[in-house]
Amino acid sequence: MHHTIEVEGLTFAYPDGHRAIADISLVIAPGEKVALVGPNGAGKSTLMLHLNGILKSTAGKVRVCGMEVKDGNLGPVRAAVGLVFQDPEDQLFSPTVFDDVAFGPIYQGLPIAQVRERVDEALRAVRMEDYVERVSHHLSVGEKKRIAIATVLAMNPEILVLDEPSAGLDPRARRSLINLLRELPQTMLTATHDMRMVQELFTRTVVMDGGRVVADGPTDEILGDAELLEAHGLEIY
Amino acid sequence: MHAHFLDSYRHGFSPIHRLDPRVKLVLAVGFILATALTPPGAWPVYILLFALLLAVEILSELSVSYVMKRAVLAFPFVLAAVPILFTLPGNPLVTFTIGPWSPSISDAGLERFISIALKSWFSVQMAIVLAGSTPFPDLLVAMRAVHVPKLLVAVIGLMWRYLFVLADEAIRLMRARDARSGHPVDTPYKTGGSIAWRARVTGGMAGNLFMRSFDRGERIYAAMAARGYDGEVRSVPLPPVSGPQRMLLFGGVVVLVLLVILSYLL
Repeated sequence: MHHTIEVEGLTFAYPDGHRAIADISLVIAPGEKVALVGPNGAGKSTLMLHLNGILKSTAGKVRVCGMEVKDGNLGPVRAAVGLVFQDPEDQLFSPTVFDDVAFGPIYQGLPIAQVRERVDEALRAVRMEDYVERVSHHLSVGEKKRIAIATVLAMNPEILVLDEPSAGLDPRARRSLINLLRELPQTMLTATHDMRMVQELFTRTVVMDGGRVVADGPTDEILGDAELLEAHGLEIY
Repeated sequence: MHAHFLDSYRHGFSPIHRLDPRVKLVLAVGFILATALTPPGAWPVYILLFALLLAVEILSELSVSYVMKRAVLAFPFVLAAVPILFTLPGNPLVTFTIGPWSPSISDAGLERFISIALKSWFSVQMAIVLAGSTPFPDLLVAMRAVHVPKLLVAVIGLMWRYLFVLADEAIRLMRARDARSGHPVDTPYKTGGSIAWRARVTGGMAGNLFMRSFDRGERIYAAMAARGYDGEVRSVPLPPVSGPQRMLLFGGVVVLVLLVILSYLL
């Protein structure tokens, strides 16, 4: 068991000099489900894009599953970390659901029979097996979210990183998404503003603000600290 | 991550930056027009035009090398003038033999080709200084002020606004693809997929981008219509151009006209 996320002194500045995150250190244990909360612009998405090597740190180190995230290591890193983007429109770039879910496995060079197996499995996991031949463009937001999750599940990742998975969903779609996330066995880091989902699903919560980690602890403790929440513009309900 | 790199404007406080955008637009277009109107082979006038251009570039504090580097963009278009080398009658300088043909470069052709190359290079540099020293919204205002058709200005404005949105969208799509382009450490398979498959994925992405732009266009129109847009572009009236700037405009136009006249006299 080594599927952890280890972030050490991570700092990142955009080319225009804007510093999005500064000196972040974070360790997530295997199987842990962690919520990442904080106001808009706190650096949550920037941090997540580092876990997959999409952004390259200005300083500091990121290790996932024991592998350092760096050029030359990106293939295995991206296979190990499934990144689900906030806007499913970005995630779904192929004409049909099948093409999209099959992208990762095909890229990995799996034989076609295995690709189909992976696609079936992933779609079954998100309960969308009847959608294989559908056109992504015509799905509802909730359906797109599920397919987006399936696209990374098809890669058999050890870690799931989700950016605001429940944003923009109606109550029923949100409920079924929460149930889905609960069932998934992967180590999970989820950025969200949905504090009730945090309470329900995640045992540990990390609070970010202004590009730094300002609190990290058991969810009950963090959500019980009204002063902390207010200081960083968060509300439970 | 945003596609800021598309914006050619560079913030500054140079005299050129502070010039009224209307004056700047008219003088820049005037310069390009004057350059285009000079006859081929008017070398002394080219030198004068280049001096004027250099002066503006130095004054603008954009860095001459930056402007010249960006102006290299004009070179592919200069290729369109290559046939002139061969088609213009004159004394042959070099003759090639390609199978049954023996095209030759004439002296008149060479002169005109170099003239065209220089003139387009000057023109592009001036356009770069204009775009580099004027925020785009100010340019739109200037276009309106000099009576460019309103609808055209509106179209240019919308294009500018959504170019970034579209580029951002393309960047996010590519990012999503990269995020899933992984493979296990010790895989027995050849990773990356076939070239045909990759081309198909890229094609799908392009099609996707087109569909989204189309949808977005519809939504933007609906949002405009919801706020009372009826096809007529309205805008607030502009303050008059200040006295000294008027003088500058006048002086600039006179210099350019004189340069054109000079180029025919020499």
